[in-house]
Amino acid sequence: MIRRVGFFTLFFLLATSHVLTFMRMENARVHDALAGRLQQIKPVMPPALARLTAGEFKGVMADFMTIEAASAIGRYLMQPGVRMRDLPPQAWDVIYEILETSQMLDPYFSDNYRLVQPFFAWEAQRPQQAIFFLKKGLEARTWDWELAFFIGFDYFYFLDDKVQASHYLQEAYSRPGGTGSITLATLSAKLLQKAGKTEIAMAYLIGLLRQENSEMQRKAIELRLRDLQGVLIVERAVVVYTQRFGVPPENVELLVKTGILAAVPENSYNKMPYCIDKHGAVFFDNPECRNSTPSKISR
Amino acid sequence: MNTIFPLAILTLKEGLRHRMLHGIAILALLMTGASTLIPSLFMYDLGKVAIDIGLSTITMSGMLIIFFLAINIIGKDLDKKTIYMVLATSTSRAQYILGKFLGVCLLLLASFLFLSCLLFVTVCVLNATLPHNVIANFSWTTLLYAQLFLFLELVLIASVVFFFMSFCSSFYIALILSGSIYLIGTGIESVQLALAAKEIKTSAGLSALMQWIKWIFPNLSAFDLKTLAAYGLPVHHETLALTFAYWFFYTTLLLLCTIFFFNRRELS
Amino acid sequence: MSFNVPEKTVFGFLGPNGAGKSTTIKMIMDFIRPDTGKIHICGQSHREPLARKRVGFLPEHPYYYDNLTARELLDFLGKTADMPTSLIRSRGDALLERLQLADAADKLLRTYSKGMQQRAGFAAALLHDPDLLILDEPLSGLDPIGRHMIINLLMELKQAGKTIFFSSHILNDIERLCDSVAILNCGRLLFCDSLATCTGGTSTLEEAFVTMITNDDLSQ
Repeated sequence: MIRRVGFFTLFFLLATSHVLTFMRMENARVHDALAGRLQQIKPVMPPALARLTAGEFKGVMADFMTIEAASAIGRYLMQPGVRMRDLPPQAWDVIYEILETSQMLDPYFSDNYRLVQPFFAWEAQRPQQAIFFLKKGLEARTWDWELAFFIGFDYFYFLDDKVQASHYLQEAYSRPGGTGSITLATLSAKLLQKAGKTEIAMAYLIGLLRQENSEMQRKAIELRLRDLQGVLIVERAVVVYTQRFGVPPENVELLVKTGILAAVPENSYNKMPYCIDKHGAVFFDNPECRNSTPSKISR
Repeated sequence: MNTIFPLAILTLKEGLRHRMLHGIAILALLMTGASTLIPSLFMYDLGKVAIDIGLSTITMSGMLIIFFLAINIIGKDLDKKTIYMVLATSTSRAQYILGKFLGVCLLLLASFLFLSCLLFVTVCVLNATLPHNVIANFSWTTLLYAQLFLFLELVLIASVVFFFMSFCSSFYIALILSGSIYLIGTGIESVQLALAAKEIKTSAGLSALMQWIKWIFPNLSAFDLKTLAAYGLPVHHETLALTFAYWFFYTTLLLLCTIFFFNRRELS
Repeated sequence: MSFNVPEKTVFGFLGPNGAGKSTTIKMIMDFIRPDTGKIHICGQSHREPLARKRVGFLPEHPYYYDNLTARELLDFLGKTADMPTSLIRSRGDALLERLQLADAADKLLRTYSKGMQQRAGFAAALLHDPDLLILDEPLSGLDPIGRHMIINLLMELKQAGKTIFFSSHILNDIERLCDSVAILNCGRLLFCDSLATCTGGTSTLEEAFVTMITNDDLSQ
């Protein structure tokens, strides 16, 4: 009897102590993890080495790396009261390294790219890094138009590189899923015009017109072609004007007055008036171009 | 022939009743369970994750069967002299090796079929419940190819194990040697590609050595079609046919060497 | 060492521990290879697997596949010996009955006691009705009842005209069973002839054996 009581007391004591220690240990570890920031989740191996050693379990390892990165974003970055933009660059570096490892193991894995675009292009304000990462995905996922669109968007919105942006929009349009959205093509042409490459934009659209069979798509392309034809006439006149007077004209009417243009072509884009900004760039979609900064993106 | 098949069946029975197999089965079931739960942690390529885990489960269980169960069964046969009983009949040593090898292959086939069925069910359920997350080009054919080649890979590794068992005095040594061959075999192509792309700088001597090494070690990456299956990427039938031929010749050559060494072995 | 086991005799193979009895038997069975010399079984080279077709063998420590039943073991051996299924069944059942293993026939060999394993080994060796039996220490590890059973069985086999070659260091058994004996010490053959010649009609086998071994050890 005494032995039995002794046994159960001992068991009870040990069990209680175990529960208490475990809870405290857990707390301490969470605390340490937060204090030590991201050191713990840093991948043990450089990405290239991981690829050599993962053998035939590359896919699964990539999956777990991605979970690791996603949960790191969740746990360490989305702390209440901390704005993501204020996070130290080291934190982002670690996350990037994890995602890079996962990409190295499985360049096809879609979730990585869908993490990089919102978090690195937007939150971390690292569009260059995001573009670099996405471009590798573009090579692997040859059927994925969205990646090209992301890159094009990042070039335009964050880096203001309209030529590159237009290039990747064209790429997106040429891929299986993107072919349905003619907007990708017309947007790309518009960006080229804004970059002062109206003729290239038109050449691109004419090329598309040759292979496009759908009536709706052809209409959209022809519409944008007409926009660009009008703009091209005005643009050429502006060049002549600038050569003659040393400064670009303030409005389209001046082109007619000086006899460079016989008449202002009609703007097929909502019948808006053309606008010429201080640098002589011609706008067909923004009549207020002289006093407003150009809208970031519009159809 | 009349000794090879009974011996294969005997080995299969012995393996199926082994406690170690029950452990492996539990592990495989847990992993299959995980393959239905883990994908929900992802946003997009859920189907891919499920196939990844499913195929890796098949590989891992096969590996465990070869490296622990098969080595254990054959090691015990040699250690505890149960082999005397077989060789005291008119069975030749070549027949013994072939029978045992066939038995191990049957054991692998049993585990392979069981886990493949589970994978099929998982994929079907995922495809039906989450149609938006099915990978764009998902193809059952590619998945079947991936499974088939995975099985071929397992058979090849089993022949490597048999090869080392034929002359190693202790089965731990055979285990370590064949384990290393496996690791080298899965990594060798990556290293070669890295060398070709000049990602790794090395001396000319080492590059020349690599040229020789690739003839000796099996190129196991060739049998790894997991990525193709996971994304439904196109398969090149010619490459697959060549891979199959490579598998056939490598395995049979290795079995011949196994028989050669085993014929000369003293079974004291 | 050279000797000949005549057909239809019971041949005892004696020697102290470490004399080389088991090694010789393993060589006969082609488990290990002699450096020089030739062995023939029923006129065929022992390297020929088919030479073992008429041979029943019982190893020193019979230890069979753990996870099989005695019946499965016999099924397997019967198939490798090209026996028809019905014959495997009938002979197997009869042998298991004779060796008092009928009740345990469908139990895993893992659960067998040492004596039961030894008896299962006998069933395995006798299943295909071999003409030549090679037995390594067939009587060790058996209790008196089991021993009695096996000795009777061997007597029967002797009467049925089988050749039995067995090693032992239990001289009583050899004296009861054998027609001829060979005596081995340190890998050398000291004697090989009929039992009567060995004892010389006067001494027991034990006396003759001890004298022979002691003389040999002294002369070394």
